[in-house]
Amino acid sequence: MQSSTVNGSGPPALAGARLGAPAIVFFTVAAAAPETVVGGGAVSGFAVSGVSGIPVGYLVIALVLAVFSVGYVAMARHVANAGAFYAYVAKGLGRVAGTAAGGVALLAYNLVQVSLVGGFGVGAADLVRTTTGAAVPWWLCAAVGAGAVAVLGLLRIDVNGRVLGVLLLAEVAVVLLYDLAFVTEPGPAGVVADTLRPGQLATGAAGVILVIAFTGFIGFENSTVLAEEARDPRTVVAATYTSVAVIGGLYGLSTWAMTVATGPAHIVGQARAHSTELLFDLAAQRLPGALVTAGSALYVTSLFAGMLSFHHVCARYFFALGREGVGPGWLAATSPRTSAPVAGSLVQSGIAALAVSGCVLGGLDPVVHLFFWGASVGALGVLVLVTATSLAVAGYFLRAGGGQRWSTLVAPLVAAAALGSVLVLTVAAFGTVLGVAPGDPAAWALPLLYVLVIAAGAAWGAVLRRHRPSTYARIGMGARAAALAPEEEHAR
Amino acid sequence: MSPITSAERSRTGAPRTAGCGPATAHRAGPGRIPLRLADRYFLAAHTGTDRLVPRVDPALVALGCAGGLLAELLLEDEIGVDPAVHPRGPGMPPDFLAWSVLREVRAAPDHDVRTWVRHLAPGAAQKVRARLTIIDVLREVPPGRFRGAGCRRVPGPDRPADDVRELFRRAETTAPGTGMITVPAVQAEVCLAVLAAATGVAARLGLPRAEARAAAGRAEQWRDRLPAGLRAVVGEVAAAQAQCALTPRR
Repeated sequence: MQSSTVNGSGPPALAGARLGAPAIVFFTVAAAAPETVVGGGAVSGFAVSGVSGIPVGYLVIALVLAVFSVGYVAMARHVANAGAFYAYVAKGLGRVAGTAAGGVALLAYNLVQVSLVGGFGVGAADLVRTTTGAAVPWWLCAAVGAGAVAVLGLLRIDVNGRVLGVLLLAEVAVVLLYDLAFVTEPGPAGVVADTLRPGQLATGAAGVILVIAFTGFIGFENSTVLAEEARDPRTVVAATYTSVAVIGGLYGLSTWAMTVATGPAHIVGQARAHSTELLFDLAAQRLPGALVTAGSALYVTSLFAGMLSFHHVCARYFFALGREGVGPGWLAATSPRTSAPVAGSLVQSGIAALAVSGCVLGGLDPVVHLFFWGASVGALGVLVLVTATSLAVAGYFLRAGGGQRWSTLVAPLVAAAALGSVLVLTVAAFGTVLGVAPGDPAAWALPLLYVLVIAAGAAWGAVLRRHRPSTYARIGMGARAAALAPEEEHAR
Repeated sequence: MSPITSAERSRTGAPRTAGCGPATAHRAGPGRIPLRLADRYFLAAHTGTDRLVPRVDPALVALGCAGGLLAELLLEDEIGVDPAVHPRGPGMPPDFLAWSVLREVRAAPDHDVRTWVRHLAPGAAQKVRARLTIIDVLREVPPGRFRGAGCRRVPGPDRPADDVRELFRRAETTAPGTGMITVPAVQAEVCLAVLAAATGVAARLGLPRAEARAAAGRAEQWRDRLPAGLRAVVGEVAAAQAQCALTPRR
């Protein structure tokens, strides 16, 4: 039986309802942290990979994810733990595959989170230096940010919706203002659209362009988390498409505008010279200082919001896997005072602390090795999850029936083919994505991590099927794992 | 019928019939209106003498109260679960709050338990508190300089927190055996204990560590022995508690 809504007079509508499409778009786009992606992720992508065609990548990935969203949203109402890709995989491809996907999700989202901690440390240190002149080590800023996130995680507090809204509007306004300044005052090459030409994707750099662009979209899947609070299912559909369009359009426009400001031929060199300060240095040449400082501050707040958001995502995954019995039971511990998933939150904070310490002790570059590598390797994992989810949607509806052929079969398979191609191109060119020399072990060792996690996860799933059938039956149920009798779950 | 049923019935003396009766209402002192299931849960979930303070996250107290209100109606046969919630009794619950919940069910039948728990939870704790104030178990406390309005216990014989502790300590006599629990009075006691466990209240009653751990296991066993409707209610409360953990506050 589907969960319904109660309204004494008339058709079902959840009491105290609810979120419209604009509100869901707001949360989804805010989770994607626009200024972090434009000022941090894209610039690092230019610098590390040496490829200039990233802007067209955002548009192409937006298109692919729009097709993916057709099936993703159609299946959301049939999945108990709708925000988690592994729940889709468990439902559509079987619970063994779901366990493997759970492992991939844990690794991928933790990598994204620690990458944001590194980015925050560098961004905050830069902001302190430019505003006060004081040289603060990046790791100190990262530690303060990660400490604040750890406390907020234990209190189960995310950035307030209104605060998030104000920050998001300010971020988008600043980015658009910068774009306008770059286009009206272009570099020596003038306003040219070289970096938006689809021909860029016919080169060997296609995989690099697409995975860097894909990184910016992580978080778009949050739209279905809010599905239960939405006015009706059509609201979620509209919100998901709008979010993908807004994110893709904004990123494509803004990164293209940056290449206009430097000239397409110089974007890589400029990105390497200025690192994550490039966006603000270019703006400083064209706009008053106050706007640049405001932009820098918003970049740091954007990183913090992203860091907190992904901390909650990771804690949720740890909690859900513990509650389902896939992971150790203690991961499902919650605080009676705040209801926070304390164990998951503490484990995530510990991982962030280890990552920052390792980066400092190993003498690694926080922008390249923590921020960019972390985000890229994390994005690779999310790409694996999204591809598997597309297949899972088709698999689920083939078995369960129902729905329109386009949304339940054609679109998911088209998306799976497109995402699978992106995945293959990405893995083939991963050395270029990371900016390492040919033959560097990082190019194959980091993707290999996922192969190992998938193998271990699938093996664990097989063990559960054989030795703990009741636990196996609950894989993918999330919060409802302990609430339902196994026979009910089978029925679902 | 399981062998324990007759033993339970002879021990508790509870009648098999439902209605306004003893299934959900706890024994009270002379001249006092008996407490109902949600009332007892509310009191067990709070501590403090001058002013009641929730033992757990207020959102969890609200879930427990919502579950308690549904369980009251189930125990009195005013509603059924199959798996949608639908009215089926004479429509004469003994107090206004229960009657208003039943009226909502009658106006919008065929929603699942999960939906009803979510629907009732937002105002459930306040409504139960008001009911307890009306029957003079609680008294309102005016707002202070730094604190808003609250309430305090009027001294009386009811000690629901002690009752829950005792239920777990004397688990073997509360609902012995392994079969389905069929006596309404025992179902009500067990339901109170399971709701307290599902919302984390039981873990904060000061039981020694070993007893608290045993109580968690006992609550799971008891849940499986409740009739399907009550099992669905406590199961959905537990699921909603976990959903709280998955949903950050903004």
